[in-house]
Formats: sequence, structure tokens, C-alpha cells
Amino acid sequence: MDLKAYYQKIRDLEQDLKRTYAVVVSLETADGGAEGVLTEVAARLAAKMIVEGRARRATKEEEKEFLEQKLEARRVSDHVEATKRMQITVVSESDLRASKGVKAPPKQ
Amino acid sequence: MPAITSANLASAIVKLVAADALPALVGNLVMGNLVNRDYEPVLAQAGDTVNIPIAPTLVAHNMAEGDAVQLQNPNVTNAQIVLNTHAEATFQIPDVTKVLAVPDLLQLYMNPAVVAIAQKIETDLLGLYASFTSNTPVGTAGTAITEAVVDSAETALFQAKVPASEPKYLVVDAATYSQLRQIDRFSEFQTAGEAGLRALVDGTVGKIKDFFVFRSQFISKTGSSPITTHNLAFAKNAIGLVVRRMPQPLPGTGAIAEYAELGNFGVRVIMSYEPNTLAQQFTVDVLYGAAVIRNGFGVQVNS
Repeated sequence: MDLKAYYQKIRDLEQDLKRTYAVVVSLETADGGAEGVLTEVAARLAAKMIVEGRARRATKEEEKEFLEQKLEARRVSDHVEATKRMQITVVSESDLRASKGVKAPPKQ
Repeated sequence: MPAITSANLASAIVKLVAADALPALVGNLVMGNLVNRDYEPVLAQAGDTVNIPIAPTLVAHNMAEGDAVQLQNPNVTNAQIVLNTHAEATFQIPDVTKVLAVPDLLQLYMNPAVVAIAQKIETDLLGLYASFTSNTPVGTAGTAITEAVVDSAETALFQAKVPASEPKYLVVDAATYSQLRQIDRFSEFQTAGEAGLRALVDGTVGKIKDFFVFRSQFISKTGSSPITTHNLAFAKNAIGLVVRRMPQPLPGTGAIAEYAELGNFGVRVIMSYEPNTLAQQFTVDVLYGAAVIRNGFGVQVNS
């Protein structure tokens, strides 16, 4: 492998990406890698994967959908976690009435 | 007895430095000690490709009386790893004789150089997370890791037919490690027994769901709100780290090199004289390549 050309390609592509992180779509690889898995990577790593033929850059639509899914997954996860941590306070009947401003029923 | 010449002494100095370099390097590696390391003391150049044979899968045949054996022609495939990284760390020692007289001083100079190389190797290995695409990534970005996530990572590796005998590792960042040891079932004596005590008292997670858990400062993190932490669960044969010897400098050019080799790992130490600073210059360098060998043997664990 011509390492000079290899690293030059990576540097050029990294500059073209013009961002810190990029979303890449995996390509099928000989080691058993599957096609179509979206992953967020640093620009340098994205460039490396593209040059090595292990991934391609995600389209704007793919990237938007991926980031939306990521946000949604987090929102769902936070919601589930919040329901697990639901606070329950045991209040006596008299305290409850007092908080509502209702008089206690007369004793019989 | 032959006379001790200055050339002998110069060689001895490099040998002494090299002997200290490798144990320090291996001691600073986490990922580097968990992956499949391939080292041969043969000379190679940057850009060379190394073929790593991948063991084929055979099928057991039920032998009946009078039956003949069934010949299988397994296709031995190769994983190709390019030696595309030549990492080096160089330092100068103004008074080399003083350093040799005080070995602690040598460690003082050597350690930062070796740590720098170890960090480079660790970062490169952990940067392979994005290549693990055979198994669907588990976990959710920006949320704490849960027992269910660890469970699904282990299930994914089991379904990918990782042999039961092969150790499995989970390498996570510091925050994720902290979350793991705060999971009640893993950190209390009544649920985790002795391991729970260790998590509580020593702060070590040890083993969870068949994963040996390690933490690394070089786990990749991407994005913002939420930040995705790319932890990695894998078996040893998921990743290959190939290291090869680099050639000696030309004789008579003033530079002297020695190799330090230990347990499938090797570095070269070069000593030369830096005329601008009038100091002895040492370079520790290593030629390596890292790549995924078996994609199914690793899974991205996001948190």
C-alpha cells in the first residue's frame, strides 16, 4: 500500500467533510461486516473508513433520520427511567384533609 | 578477554533502554492486551500487508458402522491487515551517563514516551468500534448503561457463535464503568456475592454476564446533546493487532538500534546523537496495523 497516497486521501476527505463528526453508512466487508449500519464517527475516522472502502458518507436524509432516531431513543429511555423513579409519599388522612382545607368528620 | 570498546558500550546503553521500554508499554495498554496480537520478528516496511488466517468452521459427522469419513474442504480465509501506522516517541537525554548510573532517571525519561505510544495504539484499537456492523449496536446514546444492555451484548456475541472458551471483554469509559458498579444487582452482596463486595469496596467491576470489564480513557465519544459514548464488547479474535520489526539504521551512520520483544509485542529503540542540542536522542518506535478480523465477534455498546 502506498501510505503517502493513503494518508493524503484521508486528509483531503477529512477537510471535505468540514465538520467534527460525520455519520457514515457501513458497506459489506470481507470480515463479515453488514451493509447499511449507520454510525456517528469523528471526521478523521469517517475519512479513513471511506478511503478503506468500509463505509460511505450518509446522505443528508439518512443523517437527519439517524440523528432524529438517536434523540427519540434517548427521549424514550429517559421517560422509562423517569417512570421507574416515580415518587410516592404516604400521607395520613388528617394531613390530606388539612392540605385540602376540609374539616374532619365529627366523631360518633 | 576482549577489550570493551566504545561500540560495545553504546550498544549496551540501547539494550538497557530497550529492556525498560517494553514492560512499561505493555503495562500501559488495556485494549492492546485484550486483542489478538500477531508479532513476528521479521522485517517489514510501512505499507506492507500481513495475512492472518481465520480458522474455518467444520461440521462433525456421525460415523455409522461401515461408514466412511466425510472429507471436508474448509475454506481458510485470510484477514488482511496493513501495517499502516508507524508510531514514534522521541526524547533527549543531555547526560546519558548520569541516567545510566541512576536507573530511576531513565524511567523518568522513558515513561512519557512509552505512554504516548500506548495511547496511540489504544485510540486506534478503540476507533475500530464503527467497523463492528455485523451485530446491531446495543444501548442508547446519552443514557446510562443498564443490565439489559450488557445482557443483549452478550446475547449478540453468543448468537454470533463466539466459542464459550474464548474470553469476552467489555471496555467502557469512566462514566459507564461508574454506572455499571452502581447497578444494585451487581454491587450488593445479597445479589452478587463476593463480586458485589469487590465492586463496593475495591471499586472493581470484575466480570459481568461473562464479560471481563475494563475501563479506558480513550473510548471514542461523538456528537453533542446527546453525546454518544462508543463502548465496545468483543471477543479476543474480533480484532487483530499486527506488529512487525523495522529495519536497523544504516551501519556507520551513528545511530544504534535494539529491539525489545515480549509476548507478541515488539518495539525498536534507536539511539543517536543530536548535534544541535549536544544530547543523546532516543526514539521508541513501533510499526503496526489494527483491523477487525471477525466482525461478528464484536458489538458496539452505546451509552
